[in-house]
Amino acid sequence: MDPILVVAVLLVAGAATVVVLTREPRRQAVALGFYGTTLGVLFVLLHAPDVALSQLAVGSVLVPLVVLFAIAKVQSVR
Amino acid sequence: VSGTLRVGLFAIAACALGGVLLRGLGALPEFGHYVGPYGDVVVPLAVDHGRAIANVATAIVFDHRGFDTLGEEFIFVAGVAGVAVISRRLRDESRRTDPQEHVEAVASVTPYVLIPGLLYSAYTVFSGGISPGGGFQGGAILASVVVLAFLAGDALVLKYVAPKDILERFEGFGVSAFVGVGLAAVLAGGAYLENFLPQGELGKLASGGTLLLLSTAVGIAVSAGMLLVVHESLAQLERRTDS
Repeated sequence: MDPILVVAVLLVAGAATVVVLTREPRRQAVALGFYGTTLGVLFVLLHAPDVALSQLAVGSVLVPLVVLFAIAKVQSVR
Repeated sequence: VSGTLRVGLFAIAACALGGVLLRGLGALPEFGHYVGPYGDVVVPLAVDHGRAIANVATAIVFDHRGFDTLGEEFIFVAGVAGVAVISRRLRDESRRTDPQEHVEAVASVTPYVLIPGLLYSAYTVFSGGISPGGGFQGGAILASVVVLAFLAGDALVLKYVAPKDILERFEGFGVSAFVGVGLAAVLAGGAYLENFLPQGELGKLASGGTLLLLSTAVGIAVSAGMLLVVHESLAQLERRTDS
């Protein structure tokens, strides 16, 4: 396997672990966005640029945003 | 069940699963080497035989599996409608207007990202047939760019640049356009979603026949749908339960 690919896979695994281990929801949403970006890099290296584009827009921007909206709503109710 | 027994059961199950997984992984083809016949069949179909689509991934999405994409469009619309229904205004809720906070760093970068971002999203939608991209990707990028403008401190951006009633119309138009292109193919004498336009020249922007129309339809539906979800979430934040 290509060394750059190994680094990218390890980066994805590391970022995913950070998402799981982060307990505070707001920080977790940001970590989720970073994890989405690392996954996008991996897809580019695996010659899947179409998937990488979707992953970057949905996984690192829109999903964390919707999570943040939900957290903000829950906190405003309390 | 006691703790030791539970750990013991887990250990046995983990060993069994691990053994099967390792055996399966050992029999996989070498990393990056594809042995299936699908690619050899699809690539010539997309590039040569009357379609002239350089980006095979997009050819599969809009051409060979156009009907699947139609189904995904409807799933997407159903999801957006679900969000709208869940976050509708309830009887005991009233509007609340707090001043919106924003981060200076985001606000100062946004003007430089906004226009290039909008251009790039349009480019991604239209060039899906010849380079990585397509309707879904371009639509998602467009939604992200508008969201950035909103994060820069202007909740009003969303209300004036992309008002909800207009977004709803675009969403409906995008999906109907996809269905309509399919029906037009039937009227032209082909099968549903079959290409009926001139195929164009391989590698040129106007290639692939109906692919460009379908990609644009998906781009409109996806960007409008995603922005509608953001709209609903934002409206939800502006409400307060009276009790």
